[in-house]
Amino acid sequence: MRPSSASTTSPQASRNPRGDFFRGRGFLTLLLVAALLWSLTSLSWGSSPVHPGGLGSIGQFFQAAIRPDLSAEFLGLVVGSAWKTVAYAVAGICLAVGLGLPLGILASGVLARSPRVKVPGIAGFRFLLGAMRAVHELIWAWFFVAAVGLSPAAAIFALAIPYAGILGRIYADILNDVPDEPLRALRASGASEIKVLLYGRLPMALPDMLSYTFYRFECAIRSAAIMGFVGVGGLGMQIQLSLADLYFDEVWTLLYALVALVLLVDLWSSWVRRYLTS
Amino acid sequence: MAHNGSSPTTIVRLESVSKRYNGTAALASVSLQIREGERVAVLGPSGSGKTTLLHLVAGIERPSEGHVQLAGQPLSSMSAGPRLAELVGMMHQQLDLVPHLSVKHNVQAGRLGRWSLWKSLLSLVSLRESEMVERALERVGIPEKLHERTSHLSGGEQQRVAMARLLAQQSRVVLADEPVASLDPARAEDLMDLLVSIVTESGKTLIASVHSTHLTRKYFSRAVGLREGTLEFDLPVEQLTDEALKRLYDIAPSLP
Repeated sequence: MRPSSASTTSPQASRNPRGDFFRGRGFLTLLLVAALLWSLTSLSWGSSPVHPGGLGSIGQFFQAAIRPDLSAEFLGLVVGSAWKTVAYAVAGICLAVGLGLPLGILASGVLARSPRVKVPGIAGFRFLLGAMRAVHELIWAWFFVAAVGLSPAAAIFALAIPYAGILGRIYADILNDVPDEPLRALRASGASEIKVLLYGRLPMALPDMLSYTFYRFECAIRSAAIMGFVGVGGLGMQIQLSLADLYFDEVWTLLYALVALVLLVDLWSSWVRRYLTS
Repeated sequence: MAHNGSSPTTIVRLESVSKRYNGTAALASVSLQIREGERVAVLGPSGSGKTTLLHLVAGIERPSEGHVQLAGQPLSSMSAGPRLAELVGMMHQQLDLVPHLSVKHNVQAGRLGRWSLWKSLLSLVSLRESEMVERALERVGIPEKLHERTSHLSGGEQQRVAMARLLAQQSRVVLADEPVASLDPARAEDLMDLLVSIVTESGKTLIASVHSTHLTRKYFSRAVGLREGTLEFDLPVEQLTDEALKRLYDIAPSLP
């Protein structure tokens, strides 16, 4: 006779009769398909989706894929700018974790027992996190470049703010989804909510939080490369410079370097995850 | 200590306690007095309100009506915290340990109510009151598991960790919800032996929901039968007849 929350939700879906079309999944699917069709017709396609003179450039671009610029001089530049991009990503994600973890804990509402504190607390911090991630890192970058100039700090802050918004939100969800029984037992042994957080929620949430943070680190590398477009250096800036000069062979070397970085992070994260779950 | 004329040795007192979840009654007007040192088995078919009864005594849930008193004091006046932790401790069916932590941390968790936040935080980094933790694990027979990750332990071993945590908590009343339900009979008896000897050697009170009448007769002094949230019987185990048990577990006669 325990009030199980997990078991009461699942039978509801199966109890919902299939005939009840307008309240079921079928209706939603139809609505989304209609929205897609409408959005396709509302675009102005022009005569052809591809500019006629562009076809030649596309051909050249893909031909360069098999002969990237591998000269020692250029590879040196690639390694240097890849290093810069990784450095931005690492600094950005570290700052994002430092900001997102406390904000996520506050937004999860797990520290408050009384609903009078809990409900406005959750709403307030969720709103703050939402606002942080609603603005894209590139826009934050323009803003910070205007504020502090073309310094690495601009790129790092620009990365950290939206990423803290994303991480905080996911951390809050993970902390809320932790199984309740061990927490109940901790409370029964007299633990306050902050001790329950330290002794129960965080240890149980840690593997999921870490693996999500690694995934976000991968994304941060891509974002850090994009930061180059506003002029703070790294792979993105080199890609932009080579593209502007139509040096497609250089572009490809840089793209391959970016792919290699992301794959390396993926390897590292899967290794860490295996270590954590074993 | 005497309160409202109740006997000074009464440790748990339920006064016409009811509990409803969204209008469905889980427990209807149950009154019960348990004296210190008793070993009470709570029997009944699933859904009869056994877990609800234990949760109400543990302070995990609040009654919809009626009062629960612990050691003469109303439970409603004690918020969850160290004072309640000294009175009642509870173990559930396996699920109540933090699987990601090592065994020593799960044992230390029994002290969290008494420890400061700073000490609790330090205890995650290095062992606090190590002698107490080691003694508790020694008592439950798994001293070698101190540093092991809890999720690597078998079901029976995890129940022993839960008992070591109760030893660390040192509460006057021990509540156990189906403590041996998922174990084979031989291992179930081993663990009941251990639980009952831990409880009796320090004069604690044990209230446990049990599904086996054999275990009830062997380990408990008193049997309480629940059926559809009401008290069906409340007897010393010597007077527990097969007749009474049969009536308790019978399919409801009102059903077509």
